[in-house]
Amino acid sequence: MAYLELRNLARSYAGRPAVRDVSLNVERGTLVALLGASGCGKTTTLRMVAGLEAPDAGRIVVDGRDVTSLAPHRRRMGVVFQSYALFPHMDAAGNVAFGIQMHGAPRAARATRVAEMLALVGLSEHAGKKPRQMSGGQQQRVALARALAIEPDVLLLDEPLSALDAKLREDLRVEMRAIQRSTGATTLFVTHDQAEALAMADLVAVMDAGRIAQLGTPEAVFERPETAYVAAFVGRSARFSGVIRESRIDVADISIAAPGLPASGRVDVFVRPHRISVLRAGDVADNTIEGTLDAIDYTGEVAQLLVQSPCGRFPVDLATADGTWRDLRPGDKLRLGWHAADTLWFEAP
Amino acid sequence: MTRRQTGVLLCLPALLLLAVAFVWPMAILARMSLNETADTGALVPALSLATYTRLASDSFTWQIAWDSLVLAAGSATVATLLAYPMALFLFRTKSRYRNLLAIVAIAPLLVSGTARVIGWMAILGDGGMINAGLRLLGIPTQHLINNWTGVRIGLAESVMPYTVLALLAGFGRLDHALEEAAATLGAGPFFRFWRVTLPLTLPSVTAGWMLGFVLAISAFITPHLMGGGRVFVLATEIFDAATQTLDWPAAAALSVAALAGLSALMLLQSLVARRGSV
Repeated sequence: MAYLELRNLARSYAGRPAVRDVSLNVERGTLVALLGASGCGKTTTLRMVAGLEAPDAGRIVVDGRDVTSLAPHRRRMGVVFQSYALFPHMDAAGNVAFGIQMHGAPRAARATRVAEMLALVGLSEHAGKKPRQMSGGQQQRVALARALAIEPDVLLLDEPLSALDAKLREDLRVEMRAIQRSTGATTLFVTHDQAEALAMADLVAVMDAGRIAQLGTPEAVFERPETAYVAAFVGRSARFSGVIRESRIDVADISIAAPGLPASGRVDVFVRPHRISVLRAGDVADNTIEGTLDAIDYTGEVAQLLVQSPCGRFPVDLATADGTWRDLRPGDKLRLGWHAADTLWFEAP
Repeated sequence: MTRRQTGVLLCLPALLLLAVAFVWPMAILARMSLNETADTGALVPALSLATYTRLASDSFTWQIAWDSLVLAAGSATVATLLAYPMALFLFRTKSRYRNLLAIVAIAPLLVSGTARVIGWMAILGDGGMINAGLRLLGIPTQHLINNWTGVRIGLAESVMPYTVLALLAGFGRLDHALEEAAATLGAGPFFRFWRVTLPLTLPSVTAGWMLGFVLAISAFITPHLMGGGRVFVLATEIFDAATQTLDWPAAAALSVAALAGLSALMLLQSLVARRGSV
């Protein structure tokens, strides 16, 4: 049985549903990411688990115990808020000690625990600093230490990295994941950043309009999206819309090969930009398309190409390691190709 | 134009008004306090501290100063205690009637002080609503007006709207997420209030109390009308000296001394507040 179970959770605000029907099982010690655009219901779901919002329907079960109607202070959920919500009138140690105090630990045990937690997040030397004297990254660590200090049943992270700049975000992402693994905290992690979700989570739940559109490993939601929404939200794609004819997909003047097509119908086609390659004369591919190079942006590991074709404009990622990107100029005529197996398709609504 | 010059220019109209309407009269008042009063009651132009020494050696002066302080502190405390829960509710409520409620809370400001006092007379008077109710229940009636009790009630009520406004203005620092964080860390309603809400709102409580205190100690209408001539405070004493006994130097000296005392108190409060701020 799963450690944390959400069963058919629903919640509306003023008649507008924010969460429609969310069921999710989180195994002990794992990290599950709720990934979605703003307004998809991911934060509301997290707040219901924390007890900060009451669900209109559904149950929340922790380790076989139904906590749905428990007040937040009786739940033992460690929450890291998007704004961190550190107590401005207490120093780092005071913030971390707060929850331990509330759970009635003896004074000596409390001091040891606070020191342990601050050491865990690498802030032992900043114990006496007030939140406003610390950097964003340090505040974030204090918030994490504070949440973990109460030995929570479940750790809930609400966009914990969104307030930080890109480089720090990547560092802290790795660090948080390591801390989560070492403490074995069962974790629900809310984010709109797909890179964060893919990098940190054991399982990713992609949310769309108050429902979980797909639950799977990071690889599954990226490589094998089950709906067009998931394909569009997780990762970038070249997108075409076409009609099935003779077991292929007709898009404008080309015909695309794809696996497992039905006999007929309209479909939306997605191809990941890094699966598309620039073909040289004589190269063959399952699918080929010709176009004109609109723009080329060097971003480091890859060069991002934007190609204009009769089927529309689409992105192509070209690995920069071999240096071929240097010969490309906007206006060049290109022939591009990809494997039939890399064609993702979804029946058009 | 530099930023500094712009600042001075922006403040200029207000400074001019203050100079004409406050600083100049205060200067006249200060000058007046240095005159002397002859035994006949006649004003004797002079440059002496005789009036001050005369007042300072009179124990009645110290008595009313002390009574005024106690009265203002008491009224400000009652007003703050009543205003705090109301302000907290107004700050937190998501009701669509929030603005309406806020207006109701400060509605007493829209009524003239005199009209409000007359309203209180109808409620607190010997034949008023409360005593009528007590009589109905067979409980001995109470003297609730024309004495210190009446003034205390009236002052607390009249400064409360200001206290509500001062508290509301200071609650901006109170982020609801902090209370939620405290809850998730295991704090029940009492500890959430005691450890988070109260410490974070304490600076606005001091500011609100101080405002109430200053307004209460300088109030005239309420002690004058609700005290029934039996309540002597600085404001009524100054009024009497100026209009009844026509002892202008005494009225001026009392005013200047009261202003100096209050300024010192406020300076002290702001120093303490600065040191205690997070």
